[in-house]
Amino acid sequence: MILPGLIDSHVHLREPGATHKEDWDSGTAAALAGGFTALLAMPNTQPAVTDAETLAVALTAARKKARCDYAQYLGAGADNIATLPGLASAAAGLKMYLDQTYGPLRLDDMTVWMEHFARWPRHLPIVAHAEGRTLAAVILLAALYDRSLHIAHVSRREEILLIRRAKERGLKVTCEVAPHHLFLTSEDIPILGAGRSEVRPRLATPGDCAALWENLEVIDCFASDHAPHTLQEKDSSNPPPGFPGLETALPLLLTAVKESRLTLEDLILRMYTNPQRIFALPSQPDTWIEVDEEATWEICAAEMYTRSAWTPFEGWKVRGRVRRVVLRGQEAYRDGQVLAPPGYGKNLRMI
Amino acid sequence: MMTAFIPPIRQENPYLPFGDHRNAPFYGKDILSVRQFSRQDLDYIFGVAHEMREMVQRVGTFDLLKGKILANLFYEPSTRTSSSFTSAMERLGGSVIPINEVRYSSVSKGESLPDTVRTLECYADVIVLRHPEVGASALAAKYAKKPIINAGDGVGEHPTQALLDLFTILEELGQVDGLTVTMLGDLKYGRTVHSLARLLALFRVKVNYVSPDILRMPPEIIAELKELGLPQEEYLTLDEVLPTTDVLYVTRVQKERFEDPQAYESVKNAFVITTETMRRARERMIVMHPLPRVGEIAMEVDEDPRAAYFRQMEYGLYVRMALLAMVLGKA
Repeated sequence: MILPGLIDSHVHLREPGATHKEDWDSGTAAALAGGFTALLAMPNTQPAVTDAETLAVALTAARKKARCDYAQYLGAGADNIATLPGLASAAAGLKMYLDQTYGPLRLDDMTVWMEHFARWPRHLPIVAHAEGRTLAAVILLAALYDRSLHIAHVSRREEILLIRRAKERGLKVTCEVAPHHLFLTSEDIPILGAGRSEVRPRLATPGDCAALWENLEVIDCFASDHAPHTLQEKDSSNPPPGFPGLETALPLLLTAVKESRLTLEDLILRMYTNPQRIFALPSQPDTWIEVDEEATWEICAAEMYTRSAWTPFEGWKVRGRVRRVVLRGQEAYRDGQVLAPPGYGKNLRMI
Repeated sequence: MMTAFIPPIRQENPYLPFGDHRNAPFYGKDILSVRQFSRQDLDYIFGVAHEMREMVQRVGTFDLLKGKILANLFYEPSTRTSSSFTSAMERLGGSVIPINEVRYSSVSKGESLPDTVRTLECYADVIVLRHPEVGASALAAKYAKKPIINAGDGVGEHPTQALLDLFTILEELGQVDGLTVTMLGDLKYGRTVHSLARLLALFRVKVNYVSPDILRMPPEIIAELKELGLPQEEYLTLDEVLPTTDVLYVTRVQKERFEDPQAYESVKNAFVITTETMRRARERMIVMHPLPRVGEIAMEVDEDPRAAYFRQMEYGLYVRMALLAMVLGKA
């Protein structure tokens, strides 16, 4: 079965600053192994990507090491309101952290949000991490400034219903859901262990999870929110939040297709068509992936490319496996081997 | 702390496709031939067409072209194409001057095509032209200042049909690269397959031609596309290529094309799609047909979700809406 090269709009690659968790090489290899030919990298690295200098650091690493195509987000801060618009066209979009997350980028002052909304170019994406009532607040800003807004990793019933209403009202709000919020709930926390189940937004109740499935048509994208940490860190007394997800997203969702929980068209729309449109990404010519939709296999972190070397889905039986990835005319992955060399990936904002 | 100089807000393009896009690549352009499109052009057209699809599904109509007038100039009857353009224009809030019965107009008094289009463009903002002679649309475009959209000129080109065919593949299967497209039936006279093959040459696809010997794809077209690097194979029966086909494009094998009626009888069943054919096809594939069909696809196949030929007509509407909005500087 042939599918488009998938696009992941929400990936943490940890470089610069924490390359023991992941870097542009291992993370983009994991993307190809998972069927993604393009990813958008989040800015909460160390240092965070918030100005020309840090953007250059991230893009230099990307240029040397990325194996798949990419773009890099800029992080909104209190002190970069004036300078960010000048960098906007080189970035995937503006990421605004409005709720608790990993890293120091959280913005509490709503006047700062307003300044960013007023100044970030209207035709380029703003992505917000906003939960619960924060979500209601940021949707109001999208309405007041009459511009598009993309909501990252929606996880709860009240959130998806709020977004449904906003869309019905004609607001230019789009959203994504991470596979772990579709396949794991708070009931899995005892099984996974407290540290390993730490993630932001937190694993939600089975009712929240059911609401996401019931409102599938409101969900524009599936994005992995790939957030790698080592097992040692996850099992420590101060476990950082986040799951790796690039190599498990497609098999989990293809299994759901087999179980008739969604259609293949639903999947393509949310993993290719919509991300390409929402983030205004150029199409990747001569690019596709080949999937064996009947292959049944067991998820095993030891076989993965992510440096984090674990997964909350260890041992899950899934159906559907990526056999081959062709990226811009070159075979980039085949049967477990990543063939695209570091540096093959292109910056989608520079094409 | 907020004392730093903050520059004024830049005015950016409004949300596509709802606004003025006079810098857009197709503003004021003619749509005459599939040869005029690059891969980037196609991305642009299909991006707008996808927006149109979403808009129609959500709200049905949108007054993007309010006050604009389309002249539908049809020198030969084509109900489908003319009503598709009419629907496209009216869904965008524009209006249409239909000139379907040219025998009642000045044309019947011997007026030349250049004169007719120069008259019409005084009243209309865009002209859609259907004409029985090859090259008629290029001639009209030479004289007209307003955009001309070729809706078929004889055995020449019918670019909007080829665009809607490609858009169908894109919307139904997600992407075009990597696919195997099998064209079946009359490949000699079928201009739709010629134009579609030319567009497919812009992608990384494999094309199979399956036809009776006397209706094979013209060698000059095969040679032209080989130049462009399109892998092509010819077959006499479908059996061999069906299991690897992602897109089966069926055309009509007309009895009139055969000198010997027996020759027609001997091949006709080999080019009919039935539920038995569909059993041997991939689970994920589509069957297309430019329509009208006369028995090439059995009626019971219509129930199969892989039968995309009626949806294909609908995609045509979105492509035509996109083209109208684009040449009028609104997308």
